Order: sequence, then structure tokens, then C-alpha cells
Amino acid sequence: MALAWNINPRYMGEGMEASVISHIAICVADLDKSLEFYRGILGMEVLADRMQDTTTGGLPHVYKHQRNTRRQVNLAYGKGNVKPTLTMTSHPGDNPDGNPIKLDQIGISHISFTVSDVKSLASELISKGVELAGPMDGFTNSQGEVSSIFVFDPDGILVQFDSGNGG
Amino acid sequence: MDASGISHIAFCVRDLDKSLGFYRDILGMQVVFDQVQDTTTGGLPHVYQHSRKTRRTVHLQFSGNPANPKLVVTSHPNEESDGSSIKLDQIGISHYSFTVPDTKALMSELAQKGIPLAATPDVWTGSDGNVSSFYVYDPDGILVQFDAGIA
Repeated sequence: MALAWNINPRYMGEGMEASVISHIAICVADLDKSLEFYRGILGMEVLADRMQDTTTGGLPHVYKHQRNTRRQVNLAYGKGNVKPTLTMTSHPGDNPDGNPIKLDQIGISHISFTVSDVKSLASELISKGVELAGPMDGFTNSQGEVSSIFVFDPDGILVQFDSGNGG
Repeated sequence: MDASGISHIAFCVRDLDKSLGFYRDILGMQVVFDQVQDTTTGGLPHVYQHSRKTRRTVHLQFSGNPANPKLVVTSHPNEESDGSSIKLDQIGISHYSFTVPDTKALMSELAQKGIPLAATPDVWTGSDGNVSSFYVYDPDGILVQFDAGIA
């Protein structure tokens, strides 16, 4: 992609108004399968589930291919005004392309959830058939502690769980 | 499952200083962590495509919203990066969106500062003249959305 990304140095350092991350957008192959994971296993709540026309407005400009419709599901922890939400989309009947990336590849590789007990969550996820991104001992330190694990969602997108100590 | 929320969103970039020119200097996020780390041990090799010796990790946050997730930005200095950012209809995490008080004014401001918009301003402007959301490219071509907080 050829980008003309040259900030006029005259404008550097004038930060805009403080803001908030409102949502994170994920495209998936099969939304029902993804809901089994994000809603069924991770316990997120569905705030909205709708079909949308994607042929007008700005969307065609941020799509790789022409798409007629999308199904969009908004997910959050709790029904309140919890930000950011996950905006999950699929294009039923269309062939999706693209592959999820690893942490050292350009782009957005993953999101992380803070949980109270990473180690017991790992066992729980494994028992539910969720695939860990590496062997359990790879995520365990010399003290036997697990501060973070990575799993694959149904599309192979990496999802991290951390104990809230950063990283 | 017992989760308290999303702690961070992670993305990898080619040149961290260039990315800071956008996320810190233009969007006004604060750097709360900046470190070069060893990436040869622990779980990281399992979630890397290639073998990487080190990474530079920067955590960014809006100071007014400490409960909002951090952006975790990483780069591998002196190593070749691969991968490319995706569009909204491709499998994976395509973008994140920031709610801002005045999308229309920000769109003009960013365009003036040389930030590439994903489409011309008229595409993002409704028949009522309002801008409910627009997209720009960050220095690595990663899509970044700005919304008025309604969608």
C-alpha cells in the first residue's frame, strides 16, 4: 500500500483532546462459531446483532472486496456503558479472506483480557476444547506461576489472558 | 469466566518512533512504559511467526481514561518485519476506534497535518453535513477509526 504519511512538522506536539477507545473490530468467518467462544466461553454479552447494507457510505472504502451485507454483533462485559466493545462482523455467503497474524507481524495481533486466575482459566479453557497457542510450560515461569496465556479463537486469532500486571 | 475487561490491544509496527509521532504527538496518548525486552524465552516464541531476539514495547494510554485499555505497541529494531495490515472484511482484527468530541473538526485537522484519510472527506460526510465516523491510516497502514460515540 502506497501511503503518503508525512506529518507536517509544524503541527507536531499539539495533541488532540483526550479520548477513549470505543470499540475494537474483528472480522470472522462464522459469527455463530465465534459467539460460542466470546459469549459462550468468555461470558461476554451481546448488545446488538443486526444485518447491514455495506454498499453505501464509507464502508466500501475500507473493504478489500465488494460486500453486499454484513452481520454485525456488538459484545461487551456487562450491559452498562463498558468501553471498548468488540464489534464482530461476518459476510454470510461471501468468501472471507485474510489470515490472522502473530505478535511480530505488522498489524493488530491480539487483545488481552484481565482475569483473576490465569492458571485455572487455562485448565478450564483446555477442558472446553480451546486450543492454547503454546505448551502450558511455555507460559509458566520458574516459580510455577502463569501470568499470561495465549489461545486461538475459532478463526485462529490470538487472544491473551493476563493477570493484570501489564504485558 | 471471571474477566474484568479488556486490558490491552496489541499491534506491531515497523518504526516505533514514527508511530509515536501519531499516537502520542497527534492523538495525545501518554507513554506509560517504554522498554527493550528479551523475547527468546517464556511464551513469546510460541506466538511469533519468526524467531525474534528483542522487542521494544511501548504502552500508551489516555490519561483521562485509566480504565480504558492500553495500546501495546511493539517493534523489532534492526529486524525485517513482515505482515501487512488488513481491511474490515478480512479475517482478523482490522482496527480500533476512538470516540472524539468533534469528528468533523478532527477530520479537517488530521487531513491538514498530513494524515492520510481512508477516503475523501465527502465520503464520510452525511447528507445532513455531519460526520458520524471516519477512518485514517496510521504510519503502517493500520486503519484507525474516529467516531462520534453513537455507533
